[in-house]
Amino acid sequence: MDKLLQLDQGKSGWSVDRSIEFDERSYLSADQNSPSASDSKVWLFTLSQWQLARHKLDLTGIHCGLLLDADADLSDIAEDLPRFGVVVIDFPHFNDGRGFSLGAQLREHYQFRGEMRAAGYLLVDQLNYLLRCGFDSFSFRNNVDPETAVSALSDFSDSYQPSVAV
Amino acid sequence: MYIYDQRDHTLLGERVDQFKRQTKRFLSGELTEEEFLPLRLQNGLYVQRLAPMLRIAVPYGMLSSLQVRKLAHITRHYDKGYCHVTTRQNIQLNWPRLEDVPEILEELASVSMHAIQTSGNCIRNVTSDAFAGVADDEVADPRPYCELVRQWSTLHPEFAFLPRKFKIAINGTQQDRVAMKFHDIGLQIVDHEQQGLGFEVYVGGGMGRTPVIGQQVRDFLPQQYLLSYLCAIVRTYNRLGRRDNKYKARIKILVKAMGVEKFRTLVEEEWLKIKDSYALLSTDDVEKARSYFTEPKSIKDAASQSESVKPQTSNEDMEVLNPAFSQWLTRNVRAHRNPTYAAVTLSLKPTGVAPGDITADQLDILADLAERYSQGELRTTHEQNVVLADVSRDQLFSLWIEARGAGFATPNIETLTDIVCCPGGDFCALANAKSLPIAESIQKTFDDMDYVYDLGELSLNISGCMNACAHHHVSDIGILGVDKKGEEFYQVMLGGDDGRRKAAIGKVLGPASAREAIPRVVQRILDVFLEHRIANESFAEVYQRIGLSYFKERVYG
Repeated sequence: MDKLLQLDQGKSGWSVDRSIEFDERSYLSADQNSPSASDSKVWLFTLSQWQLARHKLDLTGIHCGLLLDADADLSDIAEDLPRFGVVVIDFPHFNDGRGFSLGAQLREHYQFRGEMRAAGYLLVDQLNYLLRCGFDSFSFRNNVDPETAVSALSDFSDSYQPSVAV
Repeated sequence: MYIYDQRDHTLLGERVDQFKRQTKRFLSGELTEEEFLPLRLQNGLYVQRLAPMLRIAVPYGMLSSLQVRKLAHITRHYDKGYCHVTTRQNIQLNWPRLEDVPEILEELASVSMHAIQTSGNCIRNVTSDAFAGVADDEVADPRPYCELVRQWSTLHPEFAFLPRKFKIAINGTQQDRVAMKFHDIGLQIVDHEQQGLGFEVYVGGGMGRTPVIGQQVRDFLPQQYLLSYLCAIVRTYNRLGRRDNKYKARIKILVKAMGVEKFRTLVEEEWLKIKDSYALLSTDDVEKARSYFTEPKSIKDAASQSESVKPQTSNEDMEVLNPAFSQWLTRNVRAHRNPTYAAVTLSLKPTGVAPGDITADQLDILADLAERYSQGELRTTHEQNVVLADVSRDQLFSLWIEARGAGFATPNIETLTDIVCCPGGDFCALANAKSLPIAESIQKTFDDMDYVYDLGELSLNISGCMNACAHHHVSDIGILGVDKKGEEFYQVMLGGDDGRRKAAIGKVLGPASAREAIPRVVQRILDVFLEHRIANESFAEVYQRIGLSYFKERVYG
C-alpha cells in the first residue's frame, strides 16, 4: 500500500498526517467487507460500487464517501451526492487536469458542501489552484515535503478570477 | 496601454518567488525532470537544441518604450545580444542560462512583464491585430477584451493542466487580421443592432500537423458573457479532450471527432449552468478596460487642429525628391483613423537577418523611436515586424531617415521578402529542418525590388517542422521542412489564407525538394503566376482562378 501524506484543514490551520494508510479501492470489496453502522470510519465507494451498494446494502447510519475517477460523469450520481460526507477525486498523474474541472463542477453545479479531496500523484505546486477549485483536503501518492506542501497552499495571496465557493 | 495595478504587481511578484523556489527544488533534486517540466514551461522556459529558450509574453503585442529598453538590457546581459519576435507576438531569448531565469523574470517583473503561460498546456497569450485602435474598418478596439481575457486566463486555477496548449485570438476589424479561424478559440467582435457589442465565437481551428479551419459555435455572444462562455468551452475541452496522444489532444480533434453540433450542445449546456452565477463583465468593467486604450490626447488635439497646422515639409514634396522614401510610404505606412497620423510598420526582414530578430542596440533605438514618434508605445505583429501605430504624418520623413539608419526601413511589408519564418533547426529542438537559410536564399534570389513590388501582396511562410509555428498552411506560398532519412527536404504548398480574404489551408504542390532547389521552385511558381495574371490580380486571386495544376506542371513537369 502506498504511503500517503494527507493535508487537512483543521480549525487551527492545515495539519499534516503521515500515518494514515489509505487505500480507497479496498474499502468495499464485494462480499467480505460489509459496512456496519457501528463503524465510525468513512466507507468509500467507487461509482460502480455505489450503483450496486445503494440497492443491495442497508446503508442506514453508514458514513459514505465517494471515490471518483477523473472522467466521472457527475450527472450519473447527482441525486445521491448529499449522502456523501466526502468525495475523493482521483488524479492519476499531475499532468491530468480533468480533476480541476470535475471538482469545480461538483461545487458549482451540484453545490456539494462536504469534504472534497484531491488524491493521487500531485505536485505541491498545484495545491493553491486545487484549493481555488473547491478542494479542501489533499492526499499524495508521491513523496512530498510536508512543509513545502503547506507553504505552497498560499503561493498566491490574490487572484484574477473568483475562486469556487466551498 | 494597460497599466498594472496593485493586484497585477502582487501576483507577478508572487509568481517570480514561486518559480525561484521551484527552480531551487529542481536543481537540488527534489523535483524530477518530469515534474519540473510543466512548471518551467508555464514560466516560458524551454530546453532547446543548444541552450534553454525563454519566451516572454507580450500581451496582444503591446510594448512600452520602458519595456523595450528592459528587453535590450536583458538580451545584452543575459543573452547574446539579440532576441526574436514570434508569430504569436511574443519575444524569445535563445541563449539564457537556466540559473539566470529567475533573475531575468525579476527584471521583467520590474517593468510589468513576465513569461507566464507562454508555453505549456494552458491558455497562452491572447493575440490580436497590430493595428488595433488605428484601423478604420474596426468594429471596436479588441485590446480591452484581450486585456480582460488576459486577466481571466492568467493563473487560472482550473485550466493550467489542459490536454494541450490553448490559444485565443480576438479580431476587431471586418477583415480577419488575426488568423481567428486558426485558433483554439477565435472571437470576432460584432456590433449587434439590438444587443450591442458582442462576439461571434469560433472553435477548433488550428495549424500544426492537422490544420483545421475553426467552426462557429455561436453567432452572437453578448459581451457581458464573454468569460463564462470561454469557461464553458475550456471546461468542456478540459473534461473531454484526449490525453492519450499528444498529437490528438488539441481541441480541434475533439470538435472534429464529435462534430461541432454536439460540441456546441455540450458547451451551451455547461454555459447555461454557469452564465448567471459566473462573473459577468459589466459595462463598467469593459469601459474601465477601454479607458486604457483611448487615443492619446495629442492625437485628438491634432485632429481638431488639422485644418490650421500644416506639416513643414509635405510628404508629397519628399516623395518627388526621394523615390526610396516614396517606396517606403507605399509599402510600410498605413492609413490611421485620424488623417493627420499614420501607422508605420518597421520591417524586421532585411535580407541576411533571421526574420523577426532584433539586436539589443536595435531594441534601444526602437524604444527611442517609439518615444519620440509614437506615444512611447509599439506593437509586435504576428508577421514578426514592429508597428509604430500613432506617427504624426509630418514626422514620417524624419522617422524614415532614422529607421533606415537602424535597419528597420526595408520597404518590403506584405511582399515576397517579408518572410514569416520560425527559428527552425538552427535553434529549435522540435525542428526537422532548418528554416532560416531558406528564408535567406529566397531573399537573396529575389533582390530586385521592382520585381518584388510587381508581384504585389504576397505571403511566404517557412516552418521547420509540422508544428507550423510560421503558419505555412495559411500563406500564399508555404514551405515546410521535412526530414527524409536524416536529410532536410522542403515541401511547398500553395493557396493558404489566414482569413484576410477567406480562411483556407494550402494544398501541397508535390514531392519535397532539396534546399538548393527551393529558390528555383519559387521562381517557377512566380513565373506561372505572372503569366496567368490579369491586370493587377494578386497571387491569391490568380491561384483561386487557375488552381494548382499549372503550378504543378511547371515545377515538376
